[in-house]
Amino acid sequence: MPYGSTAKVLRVNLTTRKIEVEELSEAFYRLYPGGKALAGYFMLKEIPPHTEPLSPENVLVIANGLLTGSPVSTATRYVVSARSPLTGGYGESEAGGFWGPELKMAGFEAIIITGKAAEPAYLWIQDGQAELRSAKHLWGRTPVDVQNDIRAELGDDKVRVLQIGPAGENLVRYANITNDLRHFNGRNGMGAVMGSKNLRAVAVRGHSRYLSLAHDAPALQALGKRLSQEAVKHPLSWDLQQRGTPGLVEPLNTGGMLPTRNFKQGVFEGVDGIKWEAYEKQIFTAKRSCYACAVRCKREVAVEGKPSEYGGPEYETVGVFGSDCGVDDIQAVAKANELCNEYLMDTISAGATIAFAMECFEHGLIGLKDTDGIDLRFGNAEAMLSMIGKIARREGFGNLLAEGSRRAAEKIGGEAPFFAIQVKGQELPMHEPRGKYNVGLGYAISEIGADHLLVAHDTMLANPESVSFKGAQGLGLQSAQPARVFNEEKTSHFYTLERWTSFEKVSGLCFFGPVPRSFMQAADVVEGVRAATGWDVDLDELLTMGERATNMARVFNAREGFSRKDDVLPGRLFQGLENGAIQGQGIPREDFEQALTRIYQAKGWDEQTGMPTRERLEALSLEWAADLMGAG
Amino acid sequence: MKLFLGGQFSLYIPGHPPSVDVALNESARLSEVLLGLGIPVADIHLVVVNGQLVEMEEAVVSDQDEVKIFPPVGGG
Repeated sequence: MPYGSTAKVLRVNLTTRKIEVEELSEAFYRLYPGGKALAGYFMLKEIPPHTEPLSPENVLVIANGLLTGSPVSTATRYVVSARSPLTGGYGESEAGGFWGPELKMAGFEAIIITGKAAEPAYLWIQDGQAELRSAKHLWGRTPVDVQNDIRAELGDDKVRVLQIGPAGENLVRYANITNDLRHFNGRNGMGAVMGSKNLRAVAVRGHSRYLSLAHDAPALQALGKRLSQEAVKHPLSWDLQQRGTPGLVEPLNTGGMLPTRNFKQGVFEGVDGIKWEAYEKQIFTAKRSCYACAVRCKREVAVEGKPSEYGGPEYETVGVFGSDCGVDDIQAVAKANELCNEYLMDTISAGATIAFAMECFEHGLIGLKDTDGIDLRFGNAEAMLSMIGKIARREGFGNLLAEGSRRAAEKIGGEAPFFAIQVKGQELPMHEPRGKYNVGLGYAISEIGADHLLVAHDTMLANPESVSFKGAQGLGLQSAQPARVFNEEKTSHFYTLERWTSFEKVSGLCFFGPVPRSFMQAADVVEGVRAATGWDVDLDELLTMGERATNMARVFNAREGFSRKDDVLPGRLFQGLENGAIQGQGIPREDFEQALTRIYQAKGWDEQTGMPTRERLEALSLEWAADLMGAG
Repeated sequence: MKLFLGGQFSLYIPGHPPSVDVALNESARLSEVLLGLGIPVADIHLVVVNGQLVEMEEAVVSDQDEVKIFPPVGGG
């Protein structure tokens, strides 16, 4: 058995109710050591091409990272993967919290869920054992009630509950999954896949300890202690602890990069109503953290004067329901967040799809007769809030928006597709690529559709003396580069940073742990993996693990017919912003296309198709994946 | 000069206040004022003086000015 791992995968067939345990060998685990890599392997092997995402044949994989549950700050994350009902491609979404570590302590690295339950069910896992139980009495109920009832039924209030909500039951294409009510596998509609399988929840309780699995427990414990001390004093993690992600609102607005009114503008005149100071004064109640994490970036809030059960809005949520919908009221944003979290759907896609509809409404592409009488103009907070429930219930106009902006735009027609700010069907997060070009390249190339966590953001790598660039030098970055430029050095940045971020998703580390975004140096991560596993790894092997995971995702998409034609950006991003510091400046289209060609070359992918070559797949020990793709 | 400390910059001032008053007898280069306070200028991405975005290298400030500094941010 490999150190640092339980080496066990739980297989659950919901149709037959058969539950089995499979053992992983060390040689296998070193190639696919958790998270994105483990999930990608099982997806490619077990999901036949062109499987309907919401059919019983889709396979849902939940996989812990290599370090998840270890006593290292930010090592809390697990991935949920399946073919995405939003994009039709490789689907993936990570979350932190406490559920992943609990799964590890219950004896499993991953769960592979196939088939469809005849009636609503939930999975109960405790200390190496698992059983399916009825969830008929839980279907249609709020996440708070479901969590309370499951804990009461199992007689243990420490049970960790991962679950979908009414939006997942209703197959909203961007329904999400929560754990502990306040941590979310937000993107790609993984909640809809779970809903299509009649699986409401996965409850977990474990009593083992990560350290009992580690190769060198004292070394891992000492590293964890040192990193906790570092996390509370390093400037980048210190800032996250002070304000959490809502602290991003004002700096982004100041730089003209706060997405406003469906990405038309970069400066929001109502920013004072949604920035951290408004958040702190009007809704903030407490700080909170994920498992064993000293960064403590999570916020608790009060909504309509009452403590919310679902945690506070993150930056993405403040951006999308605030400036992107033209709403200048943090209390309305907090209510939107609470509603999305009660129905359990992705705040980014829900908010961005509403912003899209607002622009269609203002252009007269849709009217009151289409929107069930709702005056869906930018800035109308009440209209925004009423749309959330209609989407989750698939009621009236909400039924169209529950399909996501790309499908809704096709139905509305006319100019509507131009207003759908999405890539591969997934709505853009709240980071303005016209101010950071590699973020834009990442939106285009990402296998899951627009994703802001694919590479570290350009602005943090523009000053050679900055703490963030110095952190990136530990990854091998050579020279600082301007944010709004595509050149060969930026391609090199992208290649290294994407491999690194992909490794974060393999290892279970949060984006807010390692350099260049935060406090944990590259050498610390290598040390952690060595202490956990006993493997004589170096940084390059970790980067290769990340690259291998990305290539499996790419092969999955190749089988579904994706190619270079899908690595695109919304047309609006090639046009200038209407206001702010970078007003009038769009991404230069030709430079973007050249950058895309260069990054394909760096990755060993075919320039024309954008797909991995057999040669590169073989170099990554993925011959079997080349065979699946038929790559020549 | 009233200096608003965005991002992590409160960390460098005792007590970590959100803003600090800096007495200036005469106008001075902002970068020198900040270095005097122990704030790492290389980590500053945006400088706002009296509501206007300015370049750090060009920023000259005097006692009545209101200044805001922000780091680059990403993720979230």
